[in-house]
Amino acid sequence: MKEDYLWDKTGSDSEIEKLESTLKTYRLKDTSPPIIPVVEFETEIATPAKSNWLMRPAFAAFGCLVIAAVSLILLNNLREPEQAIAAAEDTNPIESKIESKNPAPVKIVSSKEEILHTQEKPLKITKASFSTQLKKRRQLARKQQLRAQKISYKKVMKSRAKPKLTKSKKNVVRLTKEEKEAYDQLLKALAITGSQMKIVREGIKGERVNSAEKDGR
Amino acid sequence: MSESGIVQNLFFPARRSKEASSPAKNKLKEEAMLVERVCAGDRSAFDEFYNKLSPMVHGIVLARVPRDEVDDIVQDVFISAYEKLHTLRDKNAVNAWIARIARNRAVEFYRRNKPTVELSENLSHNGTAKNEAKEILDAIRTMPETYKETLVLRLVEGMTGPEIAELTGLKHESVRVNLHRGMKMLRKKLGIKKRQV
Repeated sequence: MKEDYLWDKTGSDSEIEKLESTLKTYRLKDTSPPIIPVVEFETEIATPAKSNWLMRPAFAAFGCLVIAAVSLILLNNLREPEQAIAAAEDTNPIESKIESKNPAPVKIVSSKEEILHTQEKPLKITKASFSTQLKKRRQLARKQQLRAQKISYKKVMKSRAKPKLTKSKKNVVRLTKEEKEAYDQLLKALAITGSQMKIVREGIKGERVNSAEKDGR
Repeated sequence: MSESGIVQNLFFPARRSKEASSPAKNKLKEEAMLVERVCAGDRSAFDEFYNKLSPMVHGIVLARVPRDEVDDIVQDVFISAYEKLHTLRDKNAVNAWIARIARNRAVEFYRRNKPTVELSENLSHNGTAKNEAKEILDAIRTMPETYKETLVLRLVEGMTGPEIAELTGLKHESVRVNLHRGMKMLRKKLGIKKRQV
């Protein structure tokens, strides 16, 4: 039937076939799709947002490192005074070196220097109890130092001391009157010569000064 | 069909309609998927989209606009469709939506440009076929909108009735009626011209 051919091309219809062949020139030719311009527009398909999720653990790790470093520094500072105290306790605080023959000046070496050294170092004390302990230790060390000085002084004095003249052991020379008068005159002559010698020296010095001044003019 | 099947269809019409519409639903799903892929920027999906709908768009535009301007307008239609496809709410109605764009473009063409007389490409006797085609097309363009679109899609683009119904979104019965009445009107006009010649 003609209607069938018009509807779904079943059967045949010469008139319609002729029209189709005539109008075929106007049919769409195989053309390529248009070039789509690059335009950004919103779509329903959501893209995952870029997240800085990698930065968070990095910051956390950096923070942990900083905290660990600070804690290590604080621990080291706390240990240093404790080590100093332990060292002070172990060693003999006063080691005086005194020689019997040649009384050299007393040298208190280690303890004092240690104390000074510890005193020189800026103590980073964070705990109050540690500071009180340190004071006590210093006081104790000072006392011991003084004791050592006394002992050493005594020793030095002993070594330097002249033999004491006791009554029983006096060496007395007995002179006659004439010997005693001669002895006195001798002493006076020596005194006079000594004073005259002084005068001469002063005179010589004065002449030299005057001659020097004349040459200078 | 077995007796049990007939009984089932009688007592369970909804099931029958569901079964019958399942291929149609699948087609709608495929169209929606295609549109989504085009929106996502899939170039191959856009090519498929163009190849599928370009005959319909060409026919709609050809029924309204001179032959020389049709190709450019078809390209503009698809470019604007690509740009605005994301605004389409019902992705299953993309065919009717792009057909509307094509009609609007054709109307805009006449709004912008002054009406011109289309000259035949070949005025010699050898070009009688082309002249005849032009006359037939001119006759189709003078018809009402519904008839001329359907006839152009059938006679120029070579589509069948069911294909026209699927692409335009019209019912089969509507397309059949349009074809019948349009052909009748065309025969009348061509018959009248032949008599005049």
